[in-house]
Amino acid sequence: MTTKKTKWGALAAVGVLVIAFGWLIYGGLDSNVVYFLTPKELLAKGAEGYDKPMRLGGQVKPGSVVWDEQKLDLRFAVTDGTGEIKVHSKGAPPQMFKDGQGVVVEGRYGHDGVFKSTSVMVKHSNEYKAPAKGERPSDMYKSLMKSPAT
Amino acid sequence: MSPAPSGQFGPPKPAPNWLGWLAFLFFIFVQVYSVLTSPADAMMGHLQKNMYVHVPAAWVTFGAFGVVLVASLYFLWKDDERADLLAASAAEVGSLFCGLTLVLGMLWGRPTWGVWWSWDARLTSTLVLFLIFVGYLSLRSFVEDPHRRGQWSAAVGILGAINVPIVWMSVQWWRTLHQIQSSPRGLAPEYLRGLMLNLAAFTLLTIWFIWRRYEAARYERAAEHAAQAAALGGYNG
Amino acid sequence: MASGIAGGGVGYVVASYVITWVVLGAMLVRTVGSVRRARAEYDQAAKGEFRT
Repeated sequence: MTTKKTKWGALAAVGVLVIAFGWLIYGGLDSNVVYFLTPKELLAKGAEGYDKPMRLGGQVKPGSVVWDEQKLDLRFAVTDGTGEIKVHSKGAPPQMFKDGQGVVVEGRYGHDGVFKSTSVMVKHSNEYKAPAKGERPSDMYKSLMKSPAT
Repeated sequence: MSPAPSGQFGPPKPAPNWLGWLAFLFFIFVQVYSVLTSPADAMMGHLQKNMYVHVPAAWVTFGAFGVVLVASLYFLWKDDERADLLAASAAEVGSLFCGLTLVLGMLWGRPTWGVWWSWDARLTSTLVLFLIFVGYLSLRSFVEDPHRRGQWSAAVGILGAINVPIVWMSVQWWRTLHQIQSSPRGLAPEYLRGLMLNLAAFTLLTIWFIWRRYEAARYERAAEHAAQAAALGGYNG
Repeated sequence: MASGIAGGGVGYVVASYVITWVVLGAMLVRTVGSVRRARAEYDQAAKGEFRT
């Protein structure tokens, strides 16, 4: 008799825990915890978008990268095809940073319309392929990181 | 006072030795083979080889926690203590691989993303999964009564295993830093082969680990049963 | 510029394989040891059982 009772008790406890847990951790995630905003979404926020810690995600706009090796000063634009936001960052970007690369930057959007980034992260795609013939990967990385002036 | 749990049981059927040898030799062969045969990736060079350990580790984590789910449900249904022992063994092996997955992921994320860690949905949910099963294992050492222990850990085990599909789908459901699952289409054949072989090798290892840990757990319980029987004055069938 | 992938990320790859092998090796030793110990314990207990 006791076994039966505890068994159903345990099952009920599992059910309650699962629902509570699922709701707590994941239920609100979609609306509350958006990992990054796209430029379009950030611009759509208007005045509310300024000066709050957030992440901005999109692609490095081709041709927008200005990298000053002496001052470790990096400027580029993040785009999602529609919107575009200028980003300013101090320090060297990750190795795979390049034109057209998906990135997520952490920082604040300033009133001057420039996103002050404290951290630049490169978003990798889920595709893998060997380099084309005659091309060594190490060369590619070097060329990726050439300053845009050259 | 809970009545005596499911019938007493004797020693287990040991895992065959050849399975262990096969698992480890195949693993060593596959690891060496895949590292030697895969060319550097166009984007990330040799870092791509992280895929041969990180992805299989994640995969067998999911598999092991799947075993926890099935065994825990069976335990609650049939009240068979052996299912509880199996769930515990799988949880142990799964936690180990889950921790390994996290560490290996960080070793890839640092050079690729530029950060060791970020609180995106994939990484966070994987950490939650890991912590639940660490909790599961410590819960087991806190509860003395085997029957109680089985019920409580089955509850936590099921709760934890429900996370597996969430971890898996997290990269689809939410925006994450982590890329979505690699599909055979996005993978050059030379990488796909290495990945598949490693998946097989890790799976074999995991089966063997769970089996042996289960065997040890069975011996421990059988020893306790035997000691109890001895204390009660003899063995009467 | 910064090092890392420029060298193909070899250091990170080596680290991931070393960690994997060490962890799995440790698990192997621990697993085999635990089976042996539990088995001995059981044999001991079973003997005691029949002695009474």
